[in-house]
Amino acid sequence: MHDVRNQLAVAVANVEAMRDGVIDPSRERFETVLAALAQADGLLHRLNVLSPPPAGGDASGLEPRA
Amino acid sequence: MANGDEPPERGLAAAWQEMRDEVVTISSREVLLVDDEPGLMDVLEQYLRDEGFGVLRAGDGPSAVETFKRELPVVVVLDLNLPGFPGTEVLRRIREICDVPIIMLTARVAEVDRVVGLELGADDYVAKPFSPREVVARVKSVLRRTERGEGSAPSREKRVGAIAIDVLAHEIRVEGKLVTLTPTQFKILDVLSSHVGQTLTRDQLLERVTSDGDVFDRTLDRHIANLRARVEPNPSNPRYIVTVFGVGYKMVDPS
Repeated sequence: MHDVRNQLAVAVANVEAMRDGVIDPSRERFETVLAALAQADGLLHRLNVLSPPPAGGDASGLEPRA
Repeated sequence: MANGDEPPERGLAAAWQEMRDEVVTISSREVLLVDDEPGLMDVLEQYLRDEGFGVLRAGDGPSAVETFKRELPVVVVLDLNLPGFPGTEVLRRIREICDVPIIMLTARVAEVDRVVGLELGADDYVAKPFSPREVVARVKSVLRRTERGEGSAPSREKRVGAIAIDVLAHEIRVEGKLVTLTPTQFKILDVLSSHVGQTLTRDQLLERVTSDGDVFDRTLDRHIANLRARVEPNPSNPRYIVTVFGVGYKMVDPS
């Protein structure tokens, strides 16, 4: 879970910095944010896949594993 | 003659370099950022620079310790999760050297990690994800605390004979009595007392003391005279701040 927070930290810090005018919005900066969010998403997906489904069925909304 | 000239020239150059180094250490407030995410460090660095801090960076445990030893920053912002060895180990090794304020960054919310970080001697922590402004606020806050002298290292007072100089509080005491100095007088005394026994040229003193852009040139002698009036037992026969004719001034310890 801490890797997810690391990636969220990158995304949040960059967006706040652009909002505060501390760094200029640039394509590169948006790519950094998007890459961090994509990584966080990938990590969450893996966590969902790897953790056992809760008793009484899968509440994650994901397809059951084959 | 050339041989005779060289050693003192070199001596002054070395003294000046040493003085510059010391000036840099005292006046530029450098923060060491340790994290392995460049996308995060770039942003924190910019926030800190906007607030007037200098920034050093390290991306793993070993280089963090090495950079710390080399540069002696005033604050360390340290991620727990690092390549090489972890932030807790960096913290332990820095603590073996000194009491510098350390702020931990952590993505692990488990209370254990927080306690361990603080038990190991961290001064504060910020949980990820964080607002960069929050980190800057914590940096300023730990600096305010340490500069007020809470838990600070004992080396902030310099002593020359009966003169005690507290660099951070901008106070001096002569034979235990508080003496008021102007900021310029304080700067001159600060520089001279960092180089007891060494002659500093007028140019060296001027460059150091006018670095903030004060209007101040031929009045150096006047400031020295006023400084002597405040710290010398007998200002007309100075024992601490002596004139080296044709060169400049030096501070000596008469005791």
